[in-house]
Amino acid sequence: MKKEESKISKIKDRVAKLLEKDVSVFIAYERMPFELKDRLTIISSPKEVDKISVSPFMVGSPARMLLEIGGIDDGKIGIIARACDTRAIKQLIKEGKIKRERVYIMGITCGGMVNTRKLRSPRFENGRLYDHDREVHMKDVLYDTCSRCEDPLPVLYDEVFDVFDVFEGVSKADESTEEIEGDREKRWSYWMGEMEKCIRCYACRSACPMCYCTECLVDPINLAVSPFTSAEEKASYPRFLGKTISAEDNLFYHIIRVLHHAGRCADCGECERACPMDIPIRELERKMREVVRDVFGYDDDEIPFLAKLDMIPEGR
Amino acid sequence: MFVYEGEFIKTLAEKLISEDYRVYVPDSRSFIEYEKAKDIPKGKTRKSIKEFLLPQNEVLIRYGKWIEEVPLDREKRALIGVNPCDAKAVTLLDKIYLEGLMDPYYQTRRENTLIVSRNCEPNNYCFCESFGLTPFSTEGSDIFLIEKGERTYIIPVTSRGEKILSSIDGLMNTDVDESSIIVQHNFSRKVNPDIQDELRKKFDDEMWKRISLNCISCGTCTFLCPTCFCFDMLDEGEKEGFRYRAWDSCQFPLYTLESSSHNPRREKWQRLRNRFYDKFLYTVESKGEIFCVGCGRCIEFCPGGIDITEILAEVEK
Amino acid sequence: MISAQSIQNPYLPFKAEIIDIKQEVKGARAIKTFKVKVVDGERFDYQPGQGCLVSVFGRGESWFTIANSPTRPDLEFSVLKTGKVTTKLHELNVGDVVGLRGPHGRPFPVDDWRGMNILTVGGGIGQTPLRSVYQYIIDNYNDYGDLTIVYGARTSRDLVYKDELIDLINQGYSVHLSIDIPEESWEYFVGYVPDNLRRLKPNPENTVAIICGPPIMISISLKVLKDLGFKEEQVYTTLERRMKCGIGKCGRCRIESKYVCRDGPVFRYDELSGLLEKT
Repeated sequence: MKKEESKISKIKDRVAKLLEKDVSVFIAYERMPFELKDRLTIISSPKEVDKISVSPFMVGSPARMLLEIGGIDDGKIGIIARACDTRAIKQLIKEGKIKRERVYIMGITCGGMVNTRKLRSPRFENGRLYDHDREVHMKDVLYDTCSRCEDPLPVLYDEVFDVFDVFEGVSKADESTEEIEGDREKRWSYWMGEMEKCIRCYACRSACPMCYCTECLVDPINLAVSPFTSAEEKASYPRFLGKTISAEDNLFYHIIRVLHHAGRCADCGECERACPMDIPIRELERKMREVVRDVFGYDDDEIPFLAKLDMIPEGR
Repeated sequence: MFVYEGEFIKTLAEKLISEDYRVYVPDSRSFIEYEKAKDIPKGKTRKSIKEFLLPQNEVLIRYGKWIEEVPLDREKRALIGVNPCDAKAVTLLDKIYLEGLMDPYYQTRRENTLIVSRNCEPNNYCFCESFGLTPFSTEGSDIFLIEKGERTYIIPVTSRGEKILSSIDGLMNTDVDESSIIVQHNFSRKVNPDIQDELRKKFDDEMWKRISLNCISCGTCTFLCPTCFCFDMLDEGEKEGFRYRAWDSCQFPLYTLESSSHNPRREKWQRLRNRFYDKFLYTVESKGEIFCVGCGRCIEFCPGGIDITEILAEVEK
Repeated sequence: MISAQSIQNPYLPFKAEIIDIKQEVKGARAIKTFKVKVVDGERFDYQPGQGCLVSVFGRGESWFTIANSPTRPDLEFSVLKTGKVTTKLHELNVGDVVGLRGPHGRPFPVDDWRGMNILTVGGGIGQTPLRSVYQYIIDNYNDYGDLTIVYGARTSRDLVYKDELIDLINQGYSVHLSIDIPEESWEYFVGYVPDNLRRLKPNPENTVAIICGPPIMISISLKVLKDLGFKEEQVYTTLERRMKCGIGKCGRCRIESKYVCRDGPVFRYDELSGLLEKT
């Protein structure tokens, strides 16, 4: 669409401007050379802004990339963020992992990302999506996260670009699925059936912006050690999970992970997108979010108790 | 070559079941039991057939007062509808597990598994052609099926396949010219397999740090890859229990962590670089084979956007 | 040389009973030497430099180079307490049973070295594989030339096999000990092992050198030897990596195209010069 193209070139100009003096690097997306997908990239000079791509095919969480490069530079980091990414960044700031002053958030409105796994041979021309030669309505092939997005507008930003139109009828956030609310026996057999398929590749954990622990509770072997860790300490690390791949152990892993996201999950859907076996992990996270909101009355703007204490180390 | 009019897979599956084989056919994610399958899609499965020869978890021994041997898995299995790339990958795995000290668990499964491949429909991620394979390659299979409209052409590849076929009715000999049934496919992705010298030169290049930006160090590429074979051995149970092996990934951050806390591949770019060098250089040096069959699963399912064809093209620049 | 059981299923350990435990080093980095005897009449023939995987069921397995020569009775290996398996090993007593898998690995080519002089350079716990070599040389003294043992550790309390080495000095063997930090009543050299080596100026003619120890000691000692005229074909070392299966299947111990459990742990330096990855 001409409108979108001109918007994207405005974004590129703006990024180039920011890189001149306000920020030292910018996290954005670039089109992959052989397929219809945009992956994360780091722009460090105004000359590189031409490769920026903003489209419904962006994959990867910029908030996770922010944490990864946060320790390297001292300067300010610019970042393109959709609504869910801004929720993740907000949470990371709350947890003290990154300082607000270090990030320049360029929010963009988002209409949802297309799940290219549902298409065999996708082509995107003039704002229309084709699979082989048949036109496909983008609304029908969005990720489940996106078609049930709670709030498609950025919650935290330094400026906002209105890029995509939000699709109508897209927000079905209140609709609970059979898998989560239905009959108990059916729920159990449904989830155990899904957990049979899990191969414990840890893609969900690695893609999640909130899973930043260097010592993950479910990594079974040796946790982070240093030359000063004593032998007794290494010998007595608790082993919650081995590498046994059974439906029960996989469920254990996923439930521990989801519980550790209580009140923290940004609902970005990276976990489900990353999963190579198409397991609907996000359903568990959504239920967690519901419980936290409805049962505990926790609001996204509240600061969690522990973050108020001085024990949290200084953010980068 | 034989030809069969009608749905051969059904006939073959029923024959094998009657001979006490457990028959597996593909569904979109992996191979499932024939009885449970509703239809048999033509594309690649997500998980390769490696799990039937090298299961993700395998109990090696049990221990308590002393050790108990675990009986070897002698179940007869037949995998129908395997892609040529996966079948070739099995021959590569044989080079690791059957050469040198032989691995009895793998060997027993291998002997009792019948591989029936079928011509596949490549997608945009495939690049098997770069390694001399085509959608019609028979290497590694026992029987090869070419489905053409209402009939199926059947090629017995090994003597085991021949024996099975000899007991099936309705097979007719045919001397049809192969070139009339083979269809060429235009692969959009390519890789240069003679890349060893370039790799040697580019080891300390800065490109690895830049390329690994998108990698998230999960294990997806290694677990879905039909030729990756690394495993970990763990003991489960303090006083009594079992020792098992489980798939491991060289991309996990703690893969090379030593007890002294020294980690030779601590950084993500070192691990990513190691994967390419392992498959395209080190295995060529030690076994004479490239450990990649061009199935493209690592590209299709990488959550971060790492593309092996792109990276190898950059190595050559 | 692999026993019949190993050929059938190389993942099955033999039963081995601990018949002696010697505390070599006390403290945070404790080292104990275990002497085990294989039970059930299984034979365990090995050559100097090979190792075995010791199983402590419930914890796991660890690779140890066999610390005594095949010309001596039973099997010895020295364990540094550093992690899960080794901590449990240190808690075991005489009479306890462990599992043993092996022997694995490429041994030192002691047959090729007949008639040559042997120089061993060890540091810290790296002396373990060297001990199986020098014991073998001592027991086959007529087949070899001069034997020189250079060994050092941080302090005298960190020296392994100290009594045995002092015994050899008293018997007239050419053994040169050193410690890094000066101590009272230490009669021998004070300084790093490479410095001791430089001081001794070993002659490279018809000599084979083996260096084992911490990485930095190995690289400096190698340089010292090269300055003295040793060629890379004359120097051997042992490499180590995290090991799991020990038989060349799991792929973990690979250094590029070589499996440390199968093509090593003994390597000659010219075989390593083509390596891209710095170990």
